[in-house]
Amino acid sequence: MASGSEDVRRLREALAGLVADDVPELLAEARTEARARVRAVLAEVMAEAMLEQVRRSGRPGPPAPTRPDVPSRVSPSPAGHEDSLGYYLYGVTTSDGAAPPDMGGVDPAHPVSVLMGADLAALVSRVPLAEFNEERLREHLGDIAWVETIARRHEEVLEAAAARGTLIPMRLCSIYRDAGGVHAMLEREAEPMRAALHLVQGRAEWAVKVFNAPRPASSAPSPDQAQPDSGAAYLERRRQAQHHREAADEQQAAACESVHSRLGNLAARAAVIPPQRPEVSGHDGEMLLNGVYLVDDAAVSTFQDEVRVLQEEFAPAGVELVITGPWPAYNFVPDAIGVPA
Amino acid sequence: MSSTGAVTVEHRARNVALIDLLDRLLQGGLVISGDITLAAADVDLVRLDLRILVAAIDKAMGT
Repeated sequence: MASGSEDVRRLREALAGLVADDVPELLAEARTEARARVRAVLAEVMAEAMLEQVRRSGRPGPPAPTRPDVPSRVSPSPAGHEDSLGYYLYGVTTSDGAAPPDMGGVDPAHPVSVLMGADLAALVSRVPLAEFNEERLREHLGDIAWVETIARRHEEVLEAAAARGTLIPMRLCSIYRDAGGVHAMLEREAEPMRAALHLVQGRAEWAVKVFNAPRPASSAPSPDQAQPDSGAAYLERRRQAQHHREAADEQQAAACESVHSRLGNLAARAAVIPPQRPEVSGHDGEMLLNGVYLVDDAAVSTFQDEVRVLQEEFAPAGVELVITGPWPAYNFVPDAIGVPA
Repeated sequence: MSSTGAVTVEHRARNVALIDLLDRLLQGGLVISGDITLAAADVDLVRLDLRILVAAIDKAMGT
């Protein structure tokens, strides 16, 4: 061929272009691969756990300990402060909504009660400090069954209390050694507490998650591609696939922006929290938006209607909306009060 | 009209997804100067996610 060197030059250019085009794709593939490896590790961990279970069930003698559905009870502990009870704090309400819900607390042996101070009411229940101290809590955090039990009880108490009045929800496991500590906290933080209560009064948190439909991760040639085609056609096909993906991404990003801004317009406050990983989100697609909205109780049906409208409007872009609520205003209370930075 | 539409409304019954709950209870909510609190550093969310996943699979397998 007369123009041999010209062809080589073109080929080089095409290859250079291919590399540039491939960067996002390579990243996506790397992510997929990483995910696959995590799955593999998990499979191994689970296999071990299952084998252990088989071993245990096959072994005669005392039955294997079943997963406790209550937090581990205090084992008869040595005398001393380990026996003592502290106060687990669920939330703070105004004193007029102070009658505590009639239920057990995170430790079901102890009922939910209130401690009053500075015209505020702290929702509390007693917990054994032998289980609820820093060191034990760090250990408990490794036990998802324990975390789930405590988290669900915490939430149930808050839900029952929220039905009775305005409420500031605490983060999981806020514990005081004695009632004096709770009273002192109420007195000390009365002003920021009242401001926080004012913001959430007559409102609740609603969450809207936006997912995309799962898409194939790689652009491998389709199986109906009978003939291996020329390099140029291959490059062109890859480029087009890349182009389609980018267009879809843009469309979905635009959809999320619209969802968040239009729902934000119907809310007193709006925020975005980190998206959940696909492994735990309970959805096959990727979470594109984890939006939270503080909505007036009177505006809830308008808000829900708008979610439906948005879903219909953006379904063609390949996104799905999931709404949850009402929640206590976890994401609309100050991060921290009285905690040294 | 409000009874139609493809939107999933997950009601606040006992079937709240654990991950939605932990999103709030471990990262939201008021942190106050208690005597004992969970330090943010104690909560390794990636590990917790993995544990949630394993627990969900355990449950699905009925173990």
